[in-house]
Amino acid sequence: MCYGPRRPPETGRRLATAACLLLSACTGTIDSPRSWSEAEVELNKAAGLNPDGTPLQPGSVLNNVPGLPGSSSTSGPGTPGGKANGGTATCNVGTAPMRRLTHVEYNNAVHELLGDTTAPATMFAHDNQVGLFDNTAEAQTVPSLLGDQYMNAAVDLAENVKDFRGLMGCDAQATGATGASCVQNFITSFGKRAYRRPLTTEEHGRLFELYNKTRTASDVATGVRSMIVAVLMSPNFLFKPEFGAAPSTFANAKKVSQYEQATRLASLVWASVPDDQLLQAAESDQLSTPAQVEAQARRMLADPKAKPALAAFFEQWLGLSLLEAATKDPAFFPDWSDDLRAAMFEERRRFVSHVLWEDDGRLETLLTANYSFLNAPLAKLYGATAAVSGDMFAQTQLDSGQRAGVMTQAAMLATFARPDESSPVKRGKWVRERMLCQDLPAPPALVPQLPAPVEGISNRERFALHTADPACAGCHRLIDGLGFGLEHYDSVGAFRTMGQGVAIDASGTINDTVDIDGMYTGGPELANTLASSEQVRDCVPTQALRYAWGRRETGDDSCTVSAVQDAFAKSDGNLRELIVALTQNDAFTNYRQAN
Amino acid sequence: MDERWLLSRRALLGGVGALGLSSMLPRSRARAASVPTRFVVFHVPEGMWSGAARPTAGGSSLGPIFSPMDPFKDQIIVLNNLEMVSRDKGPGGDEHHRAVPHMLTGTEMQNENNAGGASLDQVIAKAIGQGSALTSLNLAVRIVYTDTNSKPIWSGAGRVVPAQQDPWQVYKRVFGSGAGTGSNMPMGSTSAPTGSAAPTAPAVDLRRSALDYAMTEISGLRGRLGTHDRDRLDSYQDSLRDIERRLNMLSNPTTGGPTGGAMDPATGDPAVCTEPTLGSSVNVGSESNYPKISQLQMDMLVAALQCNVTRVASFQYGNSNDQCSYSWLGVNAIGHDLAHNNGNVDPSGSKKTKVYNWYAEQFAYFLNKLKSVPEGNGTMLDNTVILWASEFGESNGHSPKNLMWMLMGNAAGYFKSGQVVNLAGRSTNDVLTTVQNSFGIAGTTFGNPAYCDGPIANIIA
Repeated sequence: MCYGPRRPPETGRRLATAACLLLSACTGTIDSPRSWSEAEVELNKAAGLNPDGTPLQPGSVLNNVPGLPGSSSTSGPGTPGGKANGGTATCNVGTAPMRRLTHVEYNNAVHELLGDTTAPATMFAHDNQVGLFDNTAEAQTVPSLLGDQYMNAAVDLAENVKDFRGLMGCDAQATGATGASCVQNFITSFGKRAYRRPLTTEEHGRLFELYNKTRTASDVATGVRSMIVAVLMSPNFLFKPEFGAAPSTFANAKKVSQYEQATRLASLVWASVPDDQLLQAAESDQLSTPAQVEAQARRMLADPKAKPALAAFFEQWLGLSLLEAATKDPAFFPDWSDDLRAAMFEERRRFVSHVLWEDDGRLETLLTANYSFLNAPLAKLYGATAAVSGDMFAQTQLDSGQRAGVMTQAAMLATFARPDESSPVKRGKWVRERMLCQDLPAPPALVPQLPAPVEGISNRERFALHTADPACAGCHRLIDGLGFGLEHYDSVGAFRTMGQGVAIDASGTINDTVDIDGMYTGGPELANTLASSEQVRDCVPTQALRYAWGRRETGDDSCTVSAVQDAFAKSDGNLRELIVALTQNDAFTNYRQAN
Repeated sequence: MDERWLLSRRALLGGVGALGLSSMLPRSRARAASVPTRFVVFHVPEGMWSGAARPTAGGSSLGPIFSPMDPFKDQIIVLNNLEMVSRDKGPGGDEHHRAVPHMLTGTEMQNENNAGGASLDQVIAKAIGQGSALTSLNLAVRIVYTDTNSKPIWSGAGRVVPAQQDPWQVYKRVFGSGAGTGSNMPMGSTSAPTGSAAPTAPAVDLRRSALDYAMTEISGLRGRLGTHDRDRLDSYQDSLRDIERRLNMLSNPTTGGPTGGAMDPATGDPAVCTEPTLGSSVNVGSESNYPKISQLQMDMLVAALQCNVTRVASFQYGNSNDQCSYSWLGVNAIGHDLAHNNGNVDPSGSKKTKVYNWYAEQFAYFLNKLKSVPEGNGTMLDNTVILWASEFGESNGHSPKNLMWMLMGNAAGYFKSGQVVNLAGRSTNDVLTTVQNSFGIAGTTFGNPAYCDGPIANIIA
């Protein structure tokens, strides 16, 4: 199993979480041959074995697990390169599929390019989700509807331009060579910012030709607009193609170009296009060393643009978007309303932002802080003393016996619940997959029914069937024990001491983890236990890398994953430093084409 | 904008660019030899439950669940006991995320995130939709899950077709007007030089020049990409070609325009299309608006069909793993729990009956609207094929067996409507084949031929 024997601490290495399915622990008793056999293949693949489990090369199974020192589970003739390994392991960098601008990036880009504040992409057909994230390369096709929306937005954006002199920094209307050179300069600067690299002579010429043709048919303004629409519709704007530049020490890879490096930084930290400083740095080869990249990353983190961009990662990792669809049974929760739901969103948003930017930025704080940001209705829900009245939000101290960090906030508890009751299964799965990075297999067909909630029987007793029935036990022993600890919180996240007329027993068991197996009681203890776990501390960088890369990690990525995990550990779990660490690894500075 | 407006050549000539897609309708004389056949597929989530009172053969009613559709019984074929044979073949995740991408494609998935082929509606759209402004119109009510593998509509392997769940956005797409006003006009807009004059006979088409420019850049980029990346670039190129197709229709009224369509029998002019009245917009994500959005989307759909903006449409209710609690019906239990917990959440099945009664009422509303549009010697309903598809048979087990689908409208007489048939485990692929045939698309298979036994003879007239 993936998180099997712990690596010896002195090696400074840990098992990669690549394809770390917990299936071996889960599927033994499941009557689902399809899932089981595919799971085995997957697991063996992750471990660098043949599909039937036989070793690809001589050596122990553990030696073939990606991420372990001496692993031979990389594809291709890798060369020593992972600095986290002290040069002992064979590593490569994973392939980087071409990305399209996310809708958020599109909005930010047109804001940078044109000063536009209409955020047209907000109404585009939504970016589809794969796994937890909506920026996965694989899903970034352009269906007809989106193509139309791109076209409409481009025309609208161009037509919204009224102040040409302001946009172009010169007078395109000027007669003769002055006007023409104004347009030429605009092509150079606008094109460079939109394509995030200097235009080729050919590209430049094509735009100028378009301008001339349009201007001749109408006027200067329309000529300029025609270029804007064309650039906004170019695949070189909408996609972020990479080709690499200098030779790399990694197999089949190249070092990214300076401009590609700038684009990667802008996408990651700002969800936008590079600013002038980044472009300037790229032009003068000032993104060549890790220190230079780091300096830029830190500069960018200090810019307000980083806040909303990075908030998106936390929202998706923590599963906030599903709160929108959560429904509650008014018979049980008459106070539930869209306003309360909106308040929960706002609480989460403020809390994450505060931990990240105002407090110490540490994962432990995110998971265990005994404060949050509440308005009066939320304070009522939490049973807390409201710091302010009405719809204002204020930092509010919480009972640390009842609440600790993000997991015990209403946004999480209300999302992962049933309309009438809590859901130890949904909540347990949340912990197992999002915090521990252990993906659970799909539930089998013909799920036996649990008895309905009835007065006098606790959820725990009802769910005992999960572990009594061997068909369920394989997986539910990995799920329910994590959810039971949150039984003090009802369907909307209010704290309760009784459920179904029975006193709540919020004890739970953590199993099949690297370092936190054991008994615990209640949300705060679970939160603190998770916060103390190296497995959780290693999981967060893995989730961040999936988001940053727009794909799942593979065996090839094991050295990078380890390097980022080590850096995160070294920073004492600082989430701001994690963003920096995402830029300080071989995958960030190398490019390997996906085939 | 509460007035009805006449979609005539006059409207076209007078308002190119001022009207939205609907202005593209009467490309050529509307009096066509045959009335076009249209296709609409609905996805209603979660299938039937064990013990559900399904329609039975020979009954005078469709039964307690579907009785709201009784007035249209003669236009309906109930297809009982189908099997989605392909579902558990090939890669994929859980049954929800297999059944939906498999449902209308009838073939193995490309990988666990993507369908492996085009869905029925898109195959039909390719055949009959090229002359319409929109090759297909894809609508939804309250999408909760945005995962690719929760999507039923695909234009090809790995190519999901998104659905619009906001009727106000659909309105802009179908009926929107005015260039440069921030409205959504897929192709009609042209830019007046100053950006303010009425868009008549424009000298410059910003869209076309951008299109040409982007196409050139795509060709330049394509050769430098790996095959994996090329696929996404190609999807963009296909989208641009679709815009190009529409621009060509607009600039060349004598070719390729939709012929026929709903028409005024007296004048031969296109039918009066009633612009749907939407009212002020509401939160489309809020469950309490589910019934309102459903009705508005249906209004939009009927108008789009009536105006011949499109001939092919899909309509997706929520998602598999249904997260709607049907609160407006007093059900207050999530559809997915209802589907699974026969014995306790809904012991008598009364809640599920209530839910599917409601869906049946929506269909009755839709069928009634189609029936109210005269067309040729009959009504639009006679010339429209509607498929009710659902991803499961017996919902608690997520079963791929014993599915119940329905065909409505008789495709201008192609189908033997007004019957309940037991298909004894026939592959859903065979339904896809049969429907495809009804639109003149030949062939004895759809999707993966391994799961096909040819068209279903006893439902063909």
